[in-house]
Amino acid sequence: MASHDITAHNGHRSLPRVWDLPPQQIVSDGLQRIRAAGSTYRLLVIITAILGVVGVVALIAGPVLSGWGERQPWTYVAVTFGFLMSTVGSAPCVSVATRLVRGHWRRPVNRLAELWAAAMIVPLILFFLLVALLPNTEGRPSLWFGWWGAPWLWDSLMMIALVICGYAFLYTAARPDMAIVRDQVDGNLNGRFTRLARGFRGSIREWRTVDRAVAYFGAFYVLLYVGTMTLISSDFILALIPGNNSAIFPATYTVQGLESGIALTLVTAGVMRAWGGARDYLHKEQFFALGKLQLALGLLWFYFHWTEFIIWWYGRTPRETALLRLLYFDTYFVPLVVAFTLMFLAPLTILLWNRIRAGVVGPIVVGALVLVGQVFEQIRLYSSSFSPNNIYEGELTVIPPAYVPGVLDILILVGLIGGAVCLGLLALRFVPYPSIWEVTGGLWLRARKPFYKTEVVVIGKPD
Amino acid sequence: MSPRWGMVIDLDRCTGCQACVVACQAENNIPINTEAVYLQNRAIEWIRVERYWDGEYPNIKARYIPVPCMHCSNAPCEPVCPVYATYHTPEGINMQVYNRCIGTRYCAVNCHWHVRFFNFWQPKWPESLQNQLNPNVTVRSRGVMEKCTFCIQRINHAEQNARLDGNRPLRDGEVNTACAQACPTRAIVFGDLDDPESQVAQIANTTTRGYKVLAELGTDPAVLYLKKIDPEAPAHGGAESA
Amino acid sequence: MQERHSFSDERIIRDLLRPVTQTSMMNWVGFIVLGTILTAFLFAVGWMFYWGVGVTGLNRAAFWGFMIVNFVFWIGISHAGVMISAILRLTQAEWRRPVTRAAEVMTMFSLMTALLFPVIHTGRPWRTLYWAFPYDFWRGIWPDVRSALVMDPSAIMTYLTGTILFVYITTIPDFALLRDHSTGWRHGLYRVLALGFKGEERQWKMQIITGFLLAAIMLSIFVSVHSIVSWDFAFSLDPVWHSTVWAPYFVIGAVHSGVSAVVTLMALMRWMFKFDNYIRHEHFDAIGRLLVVVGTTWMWFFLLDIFFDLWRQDPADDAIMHMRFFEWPYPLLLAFVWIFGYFIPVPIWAFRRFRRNIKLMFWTSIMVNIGMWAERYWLVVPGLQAKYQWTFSWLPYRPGPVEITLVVGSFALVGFLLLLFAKLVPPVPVWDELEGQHLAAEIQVGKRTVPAIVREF
Repeated sequence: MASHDITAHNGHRSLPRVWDLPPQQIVSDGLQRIRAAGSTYRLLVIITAILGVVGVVALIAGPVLSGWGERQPWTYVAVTFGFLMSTVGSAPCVSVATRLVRGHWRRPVNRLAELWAAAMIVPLILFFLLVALLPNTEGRPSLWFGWWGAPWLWDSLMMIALVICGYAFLYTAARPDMAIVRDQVDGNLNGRFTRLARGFRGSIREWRTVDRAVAYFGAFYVLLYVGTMTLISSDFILALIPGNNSAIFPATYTVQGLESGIALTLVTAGVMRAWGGARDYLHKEQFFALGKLQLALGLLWFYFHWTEFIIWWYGRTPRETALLRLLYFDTYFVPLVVAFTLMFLAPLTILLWNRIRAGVVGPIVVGALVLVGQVFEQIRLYSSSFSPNNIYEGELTVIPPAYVPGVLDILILVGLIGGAVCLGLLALRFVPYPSIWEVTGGLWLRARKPFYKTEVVVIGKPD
Repeated sequence: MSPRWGMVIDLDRCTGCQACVVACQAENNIPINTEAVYLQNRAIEWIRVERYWDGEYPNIKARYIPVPCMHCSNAPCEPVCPVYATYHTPEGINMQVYNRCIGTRYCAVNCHWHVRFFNFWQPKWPESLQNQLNPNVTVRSRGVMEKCTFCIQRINHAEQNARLDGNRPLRDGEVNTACAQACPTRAIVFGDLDDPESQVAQIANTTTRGYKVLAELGTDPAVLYLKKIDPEAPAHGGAESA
Repeated sequence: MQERHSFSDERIIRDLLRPVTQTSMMNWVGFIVLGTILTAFLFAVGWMFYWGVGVTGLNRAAFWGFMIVNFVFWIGISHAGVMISAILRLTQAEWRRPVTRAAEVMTMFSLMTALLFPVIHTGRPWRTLYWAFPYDFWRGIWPDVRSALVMDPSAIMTYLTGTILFVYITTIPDFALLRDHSTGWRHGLYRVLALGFKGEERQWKMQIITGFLLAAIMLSIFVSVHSIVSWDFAFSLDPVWHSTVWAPYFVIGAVHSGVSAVVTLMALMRWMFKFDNYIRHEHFDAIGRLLVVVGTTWMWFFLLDIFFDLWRQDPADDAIMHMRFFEWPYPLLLAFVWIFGYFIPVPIWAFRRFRRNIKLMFWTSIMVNIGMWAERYWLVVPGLQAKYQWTFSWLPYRPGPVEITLVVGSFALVGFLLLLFAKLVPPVPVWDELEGQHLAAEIQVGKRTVPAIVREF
């Protein structure tokens, strides 16, 4: 970083900067976690790694050993997969969204959301295990109408593209920081980061490329995410519940994914602020903005859910009544109520109050509640679709009983989520937090200015 | 116990003569459908006979199906009227209240049997035919929805008589709709489905040929159709086939 | 890049009040042409009232046609107001400033126009009005709230009330300005409307907080209004209509259509009132970016709807879909929807160079609305023409001259009302522009000077 003047000019007057942190501080904060891992961090990594191993063992002992003949033993593998796709998979979308609206508050938060792309390998592996369960689309309702290779080939292509794009997005956004780390450390670390940074020198052309690549990978990621969630929700859920032609469901599934992505970002930000030493970067401003987004998406999710319910309610055909009984009022009533409370009522009633939303704790708590509610939502959806239904029928004639998870199922769920968290934590050893180039870049664009009788923040808007 | 009105239409007996259509038109003051109105696709026929061609030349057959209002228990046309101009009577009839109707046509949009009709024009009868109008039935103005009422005027008349006659229950055959009365082959049978002695209940409860049109919509129609017997199909256990 | 002006306050006020103080030739031509079409519209309405709904092309299958399609279309256009005003106000986007009032006022007038159609298309419209006003509470018969046709006017009237309030609150400072700059009967009118606004701190605070509150409240209404309109259709078991996706599909389509209409208005205002310094290329750039996202989201919902219509592989569903894709006039309408509604405009809008070309933005925005009108028709009418297996009762629908006049007339009505409004109230909010000017700043970053905005928090 070239040396610079920490004041800015408005006409002929100097404006003092907002962040009282000089860039050197930001660089050293970013390097801190790369240089040395704290004991809390180490402990967390070990615990989550153990959980991951436990999850894998439970996965092999349970579903894998029972084979791919029946769907039901794989229910909680699917639940884990759905949960991870909705949280880890959607977090990069949150990063893209904040970039799109050019909010100045996003700079310390972006990196937290992008980091989760590192854990995408876990849902990818689960996907390959699950897609083998799906039969050919001939003779049954689906998006594919018996196309060649459907659904395995196309779903796989989409998932692989998504994961690659996610890693590319993370890498492109992190590469300048990796170059900064390379320039500031020696020894083994230097070697590692030289390889990672791949010759980034910070020329004007390289910076422009970074800007464009981040924008394109980001936009592409969002499109791929929406597409992937559409395919997953239709092939793994809708097509496996006879008579379920709910056109809104792919959209509902995507929106609850986005809602959970924000929740994950909030919780991550909360953890980093409390125990990650990022207090200087994650202020009320960040939580206020994220809290608003969380509230908005909670409302949106409820709205999409409601439109599905109300159409079936008014239709009242036997086909729809059976679906209502399975998914809403009979079999999976309890997970529905829990999900509804945690993913809609909680964000609404808690985040409605200005004071809570303008604080730090409120949005984080709501984020955590949404994540828990998300688990129950996935349980509701996959338990019903992985029940032994006859997927070649046009209507659900027998409502299957609720599937109660066994010990192995819970171990799979908790363990594999722990494993994904472990990967996210490990990413912190390769990608600095805070995002040095973005936060420092933001420094240049902010200043304080006396304005009539008060003092305001002036934000530069280069475009 | 109040009756539950229903109808059975035997497609094996229906010849497509449309006597039911004419009788209904005469009984219920249905506007005269001129050629112009038919060309505008606005003809009002509370019971209509649809004709479908079956087979390839030279083995073409005409199939007829008379379609009155189904008087669904779970009628899709009822919850959608903003002014409650259509509702379900305790005796199972889907009633239309002409005074309240403002003519949004939502009920017609929601009727999947196409049995609801709208008065696009002001109905007119020539001077000489005005004496023919049935005084027991409202003459509707333009802008109002109308449909088959299972000849509610005849039902009311019979029920009044039964009340005056010592509050006795109605006997089977005492009430008949105009279409059932006119049908030369007795393809249409009308009566109280809850009266085990009535002809309609006996047919409905014992037939193996019965089906309801668009049953998958779950609206529970009160009209039961009896499938036409196909004479060329191989006989098995009673010469009744699909 | 942004091309900001730095004019004096007086210059801004004078420029932006010009539509109120002067009437250009284009303005007069607009009044006369639109007024003529409006007269034809009124005549058509009267004709239909006198002779009956029979003068339209509606029949025993297509009980709803052009008039209801038009109703849905205008409700769709009305969503522009909330999108631009409320959401951009709440996210404090600077580029909303010149656009917000025109968008809100267009909402107001398009809602009023839209409301006309369900009333005039009923069989007994005088009875419809007399049923509602005054309502006969004493018979113990309430409107049937299960019916989407009762939820509809409730939602629309709520939205209309909210919009009128919103337009009014955000215009109060301008009414005060006009009061101080006028004489005669106008002075009296503005004095009443300004409610004694003097620009004191307390008054500004109330005005701004009210604006924010209304904006937040309007957001939920914005979603519910078009959802309820979509439920007019989706609650029915008609094979095409009965789809769970229709509520958000209609809402996003409305935003697509409405925001495009705002682009049309922006271009027209710039040309008619010579607002080159106020409605700038950067505004078209920003709104074009929004439209790319909205348009693509709309296309996703559109595809969801089609695929899931075909999902069950049910013969009744498939027959109607076959008609919608292959039988005249539906392939043409579908081409309009896809090509005019998405595949020409959105790729054009993806490029900055084209987003900043105002003529191109104007024509693409009109294309979008042609496509969206066609889309509403493509959604509403086929489901009525070929319901279930009653092929004997499958009937074609052709709109009559009365319906065409009514549809064209509705455009003239909205246009006329907008022109009239611009004579009474400045179409670009003066106080918003002045505030934007005062909040504009610059920051030096290295060797460059970057435009900046003042943020209060």
